[in-house]
Amino acid sequence: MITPSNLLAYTPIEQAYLPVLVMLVIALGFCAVVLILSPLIMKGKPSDAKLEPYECGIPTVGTARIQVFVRFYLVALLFLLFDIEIVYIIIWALAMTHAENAQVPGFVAFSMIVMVFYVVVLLVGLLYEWKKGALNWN
Amino acid sequence: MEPVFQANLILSTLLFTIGVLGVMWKRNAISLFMSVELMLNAANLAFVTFAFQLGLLSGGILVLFIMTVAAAEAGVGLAIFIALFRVHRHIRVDEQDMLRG
Amino acid sequence: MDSSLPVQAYVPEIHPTGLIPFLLLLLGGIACLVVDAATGKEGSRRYLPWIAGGTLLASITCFFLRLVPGEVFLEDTFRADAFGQLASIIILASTFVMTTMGPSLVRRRNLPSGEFYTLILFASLGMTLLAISNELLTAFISLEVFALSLYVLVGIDRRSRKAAEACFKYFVLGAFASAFLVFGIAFLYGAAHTTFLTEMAEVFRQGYVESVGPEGAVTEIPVNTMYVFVGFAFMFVGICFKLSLAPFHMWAPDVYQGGNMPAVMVVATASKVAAFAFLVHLVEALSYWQGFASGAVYIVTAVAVVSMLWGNLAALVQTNFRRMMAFSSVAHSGYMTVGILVLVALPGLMSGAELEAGQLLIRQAVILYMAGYTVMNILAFGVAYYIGGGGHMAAYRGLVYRRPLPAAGMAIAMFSLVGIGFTPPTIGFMGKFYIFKEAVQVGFVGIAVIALLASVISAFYYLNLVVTMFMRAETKPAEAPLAGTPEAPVQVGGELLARVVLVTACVLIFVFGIFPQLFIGLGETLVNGAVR
Repeated sequence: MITPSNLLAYTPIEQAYLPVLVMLVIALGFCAVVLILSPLIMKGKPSDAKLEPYECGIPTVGTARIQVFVRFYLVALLFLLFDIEIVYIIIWALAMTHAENAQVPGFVAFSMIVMVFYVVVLLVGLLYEWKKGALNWN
Repeated sequence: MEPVFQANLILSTLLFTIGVLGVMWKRNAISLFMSVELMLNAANLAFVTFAFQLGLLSGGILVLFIMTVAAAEAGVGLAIFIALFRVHRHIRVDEQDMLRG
Repeated sequence: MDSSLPVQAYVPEIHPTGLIPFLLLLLGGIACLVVDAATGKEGSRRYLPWIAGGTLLASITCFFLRLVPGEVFLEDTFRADAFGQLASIIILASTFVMTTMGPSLVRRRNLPSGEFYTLILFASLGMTLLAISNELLTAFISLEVFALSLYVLVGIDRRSRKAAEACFKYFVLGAFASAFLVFGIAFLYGAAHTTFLTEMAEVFRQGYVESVGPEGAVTEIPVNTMYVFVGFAFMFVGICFKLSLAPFHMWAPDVYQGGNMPAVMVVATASKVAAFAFLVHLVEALSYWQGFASGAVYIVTAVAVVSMLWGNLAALVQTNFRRMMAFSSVAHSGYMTVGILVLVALPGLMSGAELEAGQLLIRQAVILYMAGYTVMNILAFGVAYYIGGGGHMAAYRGLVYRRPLPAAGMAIAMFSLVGIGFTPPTIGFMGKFYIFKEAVQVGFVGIAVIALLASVISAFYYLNLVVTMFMRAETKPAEAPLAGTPEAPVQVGGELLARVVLVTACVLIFVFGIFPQLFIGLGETLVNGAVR
């Protein structure tokens, strides 16, 4: 039986976080090397074009501090709300399709009913925002 | 295992404190809301820490629900901020002083 | 990886009838959304009040039909004792009154009616579930359900700058408070290894948790005192925000002033009843921990005393009716917290059957007070809404001569809110009497004296309003400057229903004031005579 405590016991904490530590050292080391080495080996011949912040090759226009159109926030909100529901659906799917759980009498039917109810509630929400024009860009 | 447990609890308390200080000092509504999210996640860390230490699963499940609630709160919160911006043209907290006695 | 699951799946026991009132609220809310999307603006304005009001009435009826079991149900998630059921009925009644105010508000301010009624129903769902919840996570989610609905309801008038500001402040401080609540829950979970309040009470009673280790060995882990206190302190702060208890009340005056009157009425009454019902259940479970009273008494006393004194003193100097009511509600939460204080101290003084009887008495006193507080506030806010008075005290000058009946209703509400020294006994008096009596019996004489002094202070500003209503308007009628403002008098429909609701509130103030046992007996009848 796996419980969180013996999951943790299988891998000692020093080993569990060792890859993270290695990654951290490599990342910091790389940045340090690049930052220190490049001023040392480069020849300084600055020009206007070189000093400009590099974006993607297109000449920069305007200021970076512009207001974002409010519609983007609305889309982000709707995405966030419908995104988080996946958390429950994944767990539900894992629990329901597990061989041991499927043998428990009534469990599959019960979880199906619960999920149908859940999805219907979400569907009504989606239809409502559709009907109200929240998904309409214009 | 014990030192890790305590370190996690201390980290979660620290995060919560940073969140509280952020709510008290920040003047922009969005940063303020980020601080609240930090507090909620500090609580999540405490839940997971306790769940691991006690060998219980329920703590991990609670975290999922709290994440959902945090998302719903973010949804409503951002909508309120947009509504506020529409009527006030800014969302600076210290300039919200229309209502007084 | 091992293929076996850590937890064996099972089909939970669902109480078939107990969930009906709550499912009704959920389905009613969804039905409101569907009808709003299907019919147009006018159609939804016509049908939705009926759907929402009907759903709320049907849900109340379910409680009277005794569909909800009077003990724990749904895998111990809910505990609908007499206290919780009465609290639920009070909440539903309050939101029903808001629904009756809905049509005139929606038409006058051109509000989206679909959102308005849906959110009322979702808010009632959250509040009733919070009032009967026996599990901390369920409590938190229910709290968020109603809190998120109420944030939006307060600010639903999107063209009003004041409403936007009130909504914003309510949201920010509410979210801040709920983070405190969650952090507290985490630590209580660490202390008791469970989030169920009844199990928690059992753990605290025996003082240790039985934990099964990785090898199957059972060990007894003693309860960590620090976790209990940190957990309680943080949860209490979170709930104090919702109850607008004194150091955490700063949102209340602004929200009361800026929000629309029906929403403010529900924020003032139903949301507080729900949070208070949960606080009672929580404190009852925690009070079994032997060291609990020694620390918690100080926290709760400080909050209660500061709320009673500061609430009443600040209300004295208010020139705005809504802000006055906000500080008055701070004070009333303080009086109710005296009941919590007794609950904290009780297990240290008695045990066994005596303790259960004592806790029952406190629960009855608190629920009577909450019922009284709700009825009085519905009456006060309702009259203020229907005469179109709103905030300015000037609107109440000479009200007796212009509209005698609403003025009489307001006067009754104010006398009842004072609560002391008037005959016939009002429900405001009875609520205070029972709570203070319990406090004196347990030995909190000093607190009871402070509470009485605070009530005397409160008489000044409540009666000041009554006096204002009797003063002759000096130059011209007070309606003139107010016409056309958001607070302008209600002209469209709903007048008859409003009268019925407000007259009922007046009658209830006296009926439950003279026969308080009627109300308490109702609760016991609902759970079939079973006390728990």
